[in-house]
Amino acid sequence: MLKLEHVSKVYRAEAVETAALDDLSLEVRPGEFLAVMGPSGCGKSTLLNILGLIDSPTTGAYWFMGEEIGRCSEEQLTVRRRTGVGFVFQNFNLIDDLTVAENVEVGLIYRRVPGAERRRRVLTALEQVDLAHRARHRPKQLSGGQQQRVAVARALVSNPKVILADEPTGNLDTANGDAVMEMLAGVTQAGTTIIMVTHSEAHARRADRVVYMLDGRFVEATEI
Amino acid sequence: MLRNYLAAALHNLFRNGPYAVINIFGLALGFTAIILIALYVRDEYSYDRFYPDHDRIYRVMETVSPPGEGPLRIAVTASNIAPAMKLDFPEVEAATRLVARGAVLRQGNIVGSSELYWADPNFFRIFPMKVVAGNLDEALNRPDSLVLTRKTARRYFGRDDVVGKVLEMDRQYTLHIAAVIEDLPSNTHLNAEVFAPGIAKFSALSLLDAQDADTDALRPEDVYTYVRLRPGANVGRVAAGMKDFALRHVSGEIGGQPVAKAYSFSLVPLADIHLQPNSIADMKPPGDARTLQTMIGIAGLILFVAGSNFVSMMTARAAGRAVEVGVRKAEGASRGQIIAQFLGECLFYTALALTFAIFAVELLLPALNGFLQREISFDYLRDPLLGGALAAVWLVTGLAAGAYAAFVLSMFRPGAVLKGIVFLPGGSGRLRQALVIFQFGTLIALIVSTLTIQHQTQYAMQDRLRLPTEQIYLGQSGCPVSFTDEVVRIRGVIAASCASGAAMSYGRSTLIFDAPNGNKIALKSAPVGYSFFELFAIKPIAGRLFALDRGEDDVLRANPASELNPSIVINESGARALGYASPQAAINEYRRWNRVVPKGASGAQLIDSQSSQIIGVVPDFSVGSVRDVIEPTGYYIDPSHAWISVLKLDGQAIPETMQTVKALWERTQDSPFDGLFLSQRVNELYADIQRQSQIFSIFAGIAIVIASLGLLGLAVFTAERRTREIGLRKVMGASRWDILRLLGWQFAQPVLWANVLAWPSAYFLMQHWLEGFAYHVDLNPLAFLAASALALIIALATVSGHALLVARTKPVEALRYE
Repeated sequence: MLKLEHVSKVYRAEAVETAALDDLSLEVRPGEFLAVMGPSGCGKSTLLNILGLIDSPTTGAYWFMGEEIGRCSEEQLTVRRRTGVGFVFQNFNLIDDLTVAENVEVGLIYRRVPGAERRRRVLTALEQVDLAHRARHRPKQLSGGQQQRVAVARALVSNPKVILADEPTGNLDTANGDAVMEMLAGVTQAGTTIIMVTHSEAHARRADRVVYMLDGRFVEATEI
Repeated sequence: MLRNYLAAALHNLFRNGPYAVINIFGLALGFTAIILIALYVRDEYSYDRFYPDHDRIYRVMETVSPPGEGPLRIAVTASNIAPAMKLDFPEVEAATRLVARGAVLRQGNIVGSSELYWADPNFFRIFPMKVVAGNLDEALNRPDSLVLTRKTARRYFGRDDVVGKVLEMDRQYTLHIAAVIEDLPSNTHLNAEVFAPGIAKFSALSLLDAQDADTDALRPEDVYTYVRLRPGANVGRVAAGMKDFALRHVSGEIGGQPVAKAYSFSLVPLADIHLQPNSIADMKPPGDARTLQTMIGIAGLILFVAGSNFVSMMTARAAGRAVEVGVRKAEGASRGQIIAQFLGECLFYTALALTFAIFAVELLLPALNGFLQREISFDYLRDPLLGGALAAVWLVTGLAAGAYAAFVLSMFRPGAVLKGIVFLPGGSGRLRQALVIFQFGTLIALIVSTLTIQHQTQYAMQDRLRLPTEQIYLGQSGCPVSFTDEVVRIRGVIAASCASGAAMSYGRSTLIFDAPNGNKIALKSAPVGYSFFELFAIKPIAGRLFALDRGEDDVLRANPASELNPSIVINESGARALGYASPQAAINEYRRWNRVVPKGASGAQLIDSQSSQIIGVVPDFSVGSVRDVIEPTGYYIDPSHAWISVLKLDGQAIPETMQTVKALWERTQDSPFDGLFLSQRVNELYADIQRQSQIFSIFAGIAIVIASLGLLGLAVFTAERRTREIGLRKVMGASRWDILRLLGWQFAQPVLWANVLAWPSAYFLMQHWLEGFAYHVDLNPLAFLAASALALIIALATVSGHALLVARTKPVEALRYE
């Protein structure tokens, strides 16, 4: 489903060059739950950003759902993101000026889903994460765990083929973290591919496969 | 410590390049505009204040109420009023007079006519002037002396030191130059180029004084009368005493009734003359106090818009300095030191903007002076009032801009800001929205006002007149038959006629008609020549026009002082005023009316009313300003008063035609050829409206730029604040156009709300302004829609550039922004 071939990502800032990814190759199967682990600064988030089409590799090829997207423009990447990708971030990244329901609805608006259908799907998504009763609240009125559940609902509401989760439990306590992992595990059973960056060994064990990164390269892979 | 603060201020300035440019440029532009307006307004209010003891000098003004007409303000009086004031009022220390009379001056081959005034010998003691050469003290005590302005001296002699030189007047009199004075400054109501001695026997003043022997006759009113009161005199007592002054000193009767009953006199302070409402015989077009008040209002608005932009951007950036404040406080800075630092920074930025503005004003002032034909100076170093005002603007703006940020920032606790927990009170966002709404409301109202003024100007100058003004020439050197008979033979000249000053709105006199019930009805008197109406393509709506084969039309040609009245054509308003139910009803009616006839060399008298026939009624028609209602008017053939040659050209090769016309004049006449096209005359009449239109356009343009800069700054700031959100939306699948729509709508909303503020304001303002005209356009709803649309386009254009940049940013960079 997703395939990286000899992908590198280099950042240039004035005289300094940093290779965040160094000649990576990776294949992800449809419906697979892949965990990515490694120390801070090893390139995990960069890998996720490239897989999620919000960043582009410097060299190498990336096939997204059978299509090589290396030469795609930003607008073309946006179209593919819109139809195929959902994100869950470590710091939730909810829009403070919108209500919970409006946050969940944002992606559906850009997918041009009609209003009535949007409201129905938003309600369903919030019920799935047990937050339908907080639909009119603003993010600042929710706890961290609740905000992350809203973010999960936002990622799920558009039925993406791939969900990219960047340390989704990093800012949560154990109970909330476990609850979020349960939701993600349930999603993968429905056939959605999940790629998750995590520092938690316990949460990584919920995945089908764990890959370890160091200094922009894969150093180990384990099937669970 | 100050060096540290200055370093922080400069670093902050350079770090925020775009903001700095927007902020400081916008403020500098605002300062430039208000300084220029302030200089103009100050110049308008400065007229005649440079004369010593100007607060004791007054001009005597007449108000005359002809029967059936509204009061007429007249800037001149009869010649006896000045000595009468001196006799009747012990408060009057001195009185002096000026009379304007055209004269042809000649020096060798140089011939010209100048603004010449006959003056009493004591004139320069009341109006002292700067001398370039000679001595003013006794200059007007000799009957053969002249005083020239510097420009006039150079015109005739090519230099300034011409004391003792000779000029010939009207080919009859030889006069010696007694003194040369500096050209009169632009901020005086006087417009003389030559002062001639009123004591000369041939002077207009002497001739008028000689008429005083006949105390029963109606005296001509040609004299500008000035009085200087004694120090400490009570002007209120003098004003009270002038209530029956007219009964004592205005002679003449009409139909057995003393003319004095229609007269009243008042004193106008010298420094107020320029801003009085328009009077008959004003030396220069007066200023308009209403326009000045509007300009002051505009300056206030621009200052508010520019200042509020500055305040808004300084407060918006406040949160970005929170870490710096936290560090300074952690290092031991007190709240007072933080406040002083930020206030000092704002004062520094404001000083920078003011410095740019001062340079800009220095550069633009010559152009402004050229546009206004003034000599306004900008000497802030030597003028304490001006320097103080600039300092006050700097302080008020700088402190206002810095106050919110300084006091709010200084409240931050070090621990909170260094942890990244910073909260700016939410009011600042709402305040910014309110400021944007107010700015765009101002902008929309200004655009509506500009469009309305331009529409009214076009109506006044083109639509209303409906004349080919570029093809009608007004010769102002006289209208002799020998010229008009020949000039029509010149190729390019279609028609020629004569007109009085009154017919062309250069002056005014009155005909008094008898009404059946014994009352009197006044009509404006407009002597003309044959073919006057035909030349302007005016057809009678009843009856006929003047005809060569009708002797009764032309009784005054042989004898201007004849006691017979010629046939008369009246306008529609005249027919109504005389009580006719329709224009047709007036035709062939005989009516008795008075007119003023020449008496002596330069005198005049009102003769008893004589009967003549109304032969025609024409549509209401005027080349006068649309500020004035077209008056009931009576036209009649009177060669002695129809001194303007009116030529209609065919529009082909106008310069060549005018050369031939000029050559004919110089061949047949003794005076220089002088005149102007009707389009120029119309421009003179509407100079104030045209200037208002241009000034409004310029300052509306400035307000647009400043409001747009404010919006741009706000757009840049808001886009920064929403960078993360924009990145998230792009991650969620928002396209570039989705982002543009999001940001565009955010800024379109306040502009739409601004209409709620702007439309009623603009409506009332412009309705009030239009009502100052007797004839005016209606407020056009399209102007409101156009202004709103333009404001919206400006808002969207301003933000779209930056919004497009933001929309094209990769999502990952936006998410990484914080």
